[in-house]
Amino acid sequence: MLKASSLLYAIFVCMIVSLLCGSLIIIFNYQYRLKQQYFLEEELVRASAANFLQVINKSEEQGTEGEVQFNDERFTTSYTISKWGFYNLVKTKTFFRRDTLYKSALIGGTSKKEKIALYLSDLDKPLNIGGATKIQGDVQLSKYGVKPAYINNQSFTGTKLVHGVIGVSGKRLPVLQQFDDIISNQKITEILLEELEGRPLYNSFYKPTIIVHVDEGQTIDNISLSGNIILQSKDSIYIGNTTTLKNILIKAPSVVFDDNFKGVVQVFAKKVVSLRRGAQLQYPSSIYIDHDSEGKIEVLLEVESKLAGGIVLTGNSYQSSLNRMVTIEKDATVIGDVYCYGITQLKGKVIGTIYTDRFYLKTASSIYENYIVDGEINRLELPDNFIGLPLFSNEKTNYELIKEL
Amino acid sequence: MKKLIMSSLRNCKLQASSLIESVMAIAIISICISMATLVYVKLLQSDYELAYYKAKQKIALLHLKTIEEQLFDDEVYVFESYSVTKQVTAYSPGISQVDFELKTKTKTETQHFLIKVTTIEETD
Repeated sequence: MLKASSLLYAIFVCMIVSLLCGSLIIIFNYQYRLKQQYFLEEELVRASAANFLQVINKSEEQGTEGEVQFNDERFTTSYTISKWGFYNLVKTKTFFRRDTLYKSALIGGTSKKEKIALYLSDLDKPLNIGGATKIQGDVQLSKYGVKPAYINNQSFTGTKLVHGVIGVSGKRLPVLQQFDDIISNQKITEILLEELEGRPLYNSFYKPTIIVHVDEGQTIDNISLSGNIILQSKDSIYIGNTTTLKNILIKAPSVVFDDNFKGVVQVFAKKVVSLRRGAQLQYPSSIYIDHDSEGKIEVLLEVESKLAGGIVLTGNSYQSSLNRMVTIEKDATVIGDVYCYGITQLKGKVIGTIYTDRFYLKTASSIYENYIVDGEINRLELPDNFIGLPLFSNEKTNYELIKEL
Repeated sequence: MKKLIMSSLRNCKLQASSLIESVMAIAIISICISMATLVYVKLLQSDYELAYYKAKQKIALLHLKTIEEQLFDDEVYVFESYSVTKQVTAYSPGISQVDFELKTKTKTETQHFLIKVTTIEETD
């Protein structure tokens, strides 16, 4: 028998409805708080971006660390500026209550406004160009200027010797700014390559720099290194194409990148840096050699290799400059500046500027000084917002973001 | 089948409720449902409306457009359910502050951005 007690049923229905209402309120409350948290994070990201812009815009005036604020005092960003190879490394930390946002990036200066494609020291010899050589942009050469060359039964095939204004250069190359330290991080951890046992290693720029020591003449294969890491050796390092290197520094007397290697590295060497066929050092990569020696000092870009960033080959003595050489082979490309206090052999393409003491050309039959045959220098093709190496000290430098790390 | 239903109904005895009891029950259920409706309406009202999200997306788009096309003019964008007002002020050398104020039926909010002013080189 079913009892018809309406009041009891009514209270029961009420309880169910209030349970439903209660759960609805709780769900809504959590969702609302979640949304507010999300909007707050959005605001934090905006404040971080704004403060980061303030830091890089004033990085010349500001010290190596400090604090900035934007709009209201809720979001404070603390920052540090240090060196990472050629570039400045900016690290910021924006926080609000328990939320903290870290941002690190490489920044570089864009002070250069002139469109110089070539600066060749005035050593009282003309520049001879032959074959399909193309120079686009202004040039500064010796007072003897530029002449068409006739080599191997081939004359100059272009329409104009230089597609730009020809000026007169000085006896020496423009003076480079001093590069004292490649990093300014005092905290360092050192390990041996063997300790990694093939495991990939990523190190944040907020942690101490890890120096990975490589045994003399050791080949590096099947390993991945990324971030705040320096690969260091007392002798040569051979890097195979199964290696992944991203944003790291390499410090060794000689470095060889295998065929078809791809990575982002800044190389600081003493003797030889070689990019084998098809190897690619992607932006922002660079090669730097500052050394005086009676032996050969060379940067070699083999056929179809590429480098985006820049090359600097320099030293103190003029005698050593005769041993310093940058060779850019056929179909090899450099995007950025090439500064060579020595000899440059150009058979490939440079999208940017070449600063060199002299050119050199070796054929099967002979050696020619100050000759370029079938090479190309194109300053106009370089994007306006390209941030190259900070070669020369300049009072007016605008800093721009190169890459977020 | 019909017979079966009829016989089962005969067996089920339903006790009648008093009039007062029924009235009270109806009153309690009505109050409960009206309160539930009120809660539901309040929840819907206090949530962020769709226009708010649309406006936020629009601001994100206008922000990117300002950076890419370097558009530093004050402007007002009026749409069906919301409006966005853009206001530009110089913040420091080389940086402009761009404020976007969004207005919907129930909410008004301002988002502040800093944008780098890219100087365009003069070409010959």
